[in-house]
Amino acid sequence: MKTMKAFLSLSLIMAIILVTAACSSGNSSSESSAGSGGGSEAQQSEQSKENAAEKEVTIRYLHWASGQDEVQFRAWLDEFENSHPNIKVESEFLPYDTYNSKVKTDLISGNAADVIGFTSSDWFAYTYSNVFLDLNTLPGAQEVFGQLTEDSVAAFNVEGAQLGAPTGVGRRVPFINKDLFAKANVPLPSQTEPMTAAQWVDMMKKVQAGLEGDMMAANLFPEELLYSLALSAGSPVLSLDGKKVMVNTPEGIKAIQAFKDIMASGAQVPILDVWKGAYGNPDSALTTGKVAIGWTGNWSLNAMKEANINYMSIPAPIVEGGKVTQVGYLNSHVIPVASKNKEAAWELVKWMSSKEGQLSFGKFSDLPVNKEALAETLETLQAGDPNAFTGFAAAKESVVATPPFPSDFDTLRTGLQSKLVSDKVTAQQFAEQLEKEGQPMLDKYQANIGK
Amino acid sequence: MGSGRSKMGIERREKLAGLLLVSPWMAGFLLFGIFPMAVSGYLTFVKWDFLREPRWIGLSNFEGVFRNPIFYTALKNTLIITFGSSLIYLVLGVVIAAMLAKDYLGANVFRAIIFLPSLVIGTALASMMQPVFGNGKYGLLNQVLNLLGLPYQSWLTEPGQAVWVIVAMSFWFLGSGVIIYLAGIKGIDPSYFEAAMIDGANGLQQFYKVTIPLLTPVLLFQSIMGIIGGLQVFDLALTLASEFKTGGMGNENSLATLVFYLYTLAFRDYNMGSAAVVGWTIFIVSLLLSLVIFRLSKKFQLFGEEESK
Repeated sequence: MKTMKAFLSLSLIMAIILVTAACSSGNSSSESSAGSGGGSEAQQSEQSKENAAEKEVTIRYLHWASGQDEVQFRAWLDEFENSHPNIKVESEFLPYDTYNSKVKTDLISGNAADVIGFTSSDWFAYTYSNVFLDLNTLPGAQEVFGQLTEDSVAAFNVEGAQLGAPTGVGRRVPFINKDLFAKANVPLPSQTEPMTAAQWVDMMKKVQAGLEGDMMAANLFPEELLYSLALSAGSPVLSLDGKKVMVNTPEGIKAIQAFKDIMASGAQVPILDVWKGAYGNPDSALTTGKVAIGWTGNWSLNAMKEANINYMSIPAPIVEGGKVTQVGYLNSHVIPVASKNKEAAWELVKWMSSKEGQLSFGKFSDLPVNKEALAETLETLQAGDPNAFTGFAAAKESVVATPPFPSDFDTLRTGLQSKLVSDKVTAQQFAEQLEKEGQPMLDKYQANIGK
Repeated sequence: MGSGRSKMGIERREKLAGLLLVSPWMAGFLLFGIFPMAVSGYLTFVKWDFLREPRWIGLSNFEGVFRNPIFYTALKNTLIITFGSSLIYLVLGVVIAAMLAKDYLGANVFRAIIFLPSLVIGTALASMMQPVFGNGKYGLLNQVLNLLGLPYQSWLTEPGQAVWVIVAMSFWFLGSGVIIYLAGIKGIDPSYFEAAMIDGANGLQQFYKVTIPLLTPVLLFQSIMGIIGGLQVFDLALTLASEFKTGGMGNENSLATLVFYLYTLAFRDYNMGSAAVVGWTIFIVSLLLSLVIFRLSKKFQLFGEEESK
């Protein structure tokens, strides 16, 4: 049986390696640390002497990143190397599209990196496959995880086993182009007080009416709009663990109707064209200069600045009487059981979770999950660029991680979304069909990844 | 006696040499043909996600696949593509080949023009066609419809419509079939046409009464190749579907084909057992359709086997 598995795996691995190898880019510390801060060189040299007796270890690190992200991630690792001179980190970065195939292939072949980055939804598929180390068994784990937000730690805990260390939370909110609002002669919305879906529709229509022919009022992120409206109604689309469809309730149907009202307002890019075309996508919509409202996170700020967009973040819409809740994407790091350098890998993960590591992380990537670092980062970001970060603050306390779901469920939901917007199903039929057809998909998925 | 023994020795040596000569191919066939098929057959009965040991689950994979409506969407789409594209290759291919068979000025240029598009690979073609079949005002074809006062179409996202875009793309690969038909037509003895002309047959009658009957072996070959090709459509669908963030095979699986579904099960969901079931389904459908064509060909084929008897 094992021989067969090995044979089958080998064939697959060879095929996938050929594909992914072409897309990946490797960096060794020696290549990219050359440009790191010279000020710390003396300190590093001192520490090096102190640790001269210790054996130097090289660990491998894998994460998704490309372009500027890759440079920033590498600089983050360089920072770790400077404070841990006996540990060298060989990093490999891949575009997200090919990343998961590479991870799976590496894990199958037993050749995985010592520390691997994961999103909570991708990590979930490995829950019962026994390929990740229970980090709680490592020295100082309780202390490390005690410093992080409880929700983020819980998201990677399976029946007491801590299979991942949370690192950051990615959040998107609506961003507006203030100049286009002025051009349309529409007053700017509040950065702290969320508007209801009905108020949003009204605002979007006014903006659309005031813009020139080839401009659009909004290119919102349909999935996140639906999820956040459902959360604000207190009836999420899925349960937090991704096991149950929860939206088929009167409150959920109200949220679906609100979603439809916004998406079919005539002031939003057609739902099936949200990710392509002249209006970019929700992340890049504002930088096109043709869209007044987009839906993105802090990662788009540089692009917006370069495009001279006069931006401002605002809270996501809520249902009438609903609470402000935001959808977030939790990211984590894992150590594979097969790692030959578990101790050094744990040193890296500990540093990434520490206040020091998290503060650095928060400067170039998602928001930190270390409580102290999060508070400090939010404060700094808001003070430095209130236009960008005040809109995030409205939902500071209520960020809900995207639950894991199988891809056929995703296809079903997106299909229903487009049917809803084109009046082929009602909000109630949407909720009923999602539950009726989607629940068996979730059950099957859970059974497939289960014990 | 002695000469008989030596004759047997020669025969044995010849047999051995023959076996030795075919052994590399046999080894390859066993290793890369029969063995993977046997493994794939075994996989249909197990649950395997690469990471854990395969676990015997009996017929559950068959049940899972055959009870899933996506499978039937994929099967329906695949059959539409198979028959649609085969029809284009057969009918248009033969007609164009017959027109190109005549040696007039510039015939070679026309032959090259017809053949060249078939050199484009599927993914490149699909990428080129995305803007043509784009939704709403983003699509070039929709712009043309708009000029004609017709409503916009959701070419690639409307279930039941997207698959016809793939059928339409078959025109692009018409050239390779035309070349084979052309070779077949050129191989027909000119005396048949001369005899038909003497009997007073016009061009159309020559085509129906001489060209088509004598071309039936080529038509049979092309039909089977067309069916196998149609059942394996994947790259076009994958590239077209990748444009939409719908988590899978196009909006509401509008671009699902059997091979696309197999790929999705195997390399997106890591459900190798179900993927193997789809693989065997493709094999059985190909086999059945090929058998039907062979049976039909016995009825209609007027040249080849019959003539050789």
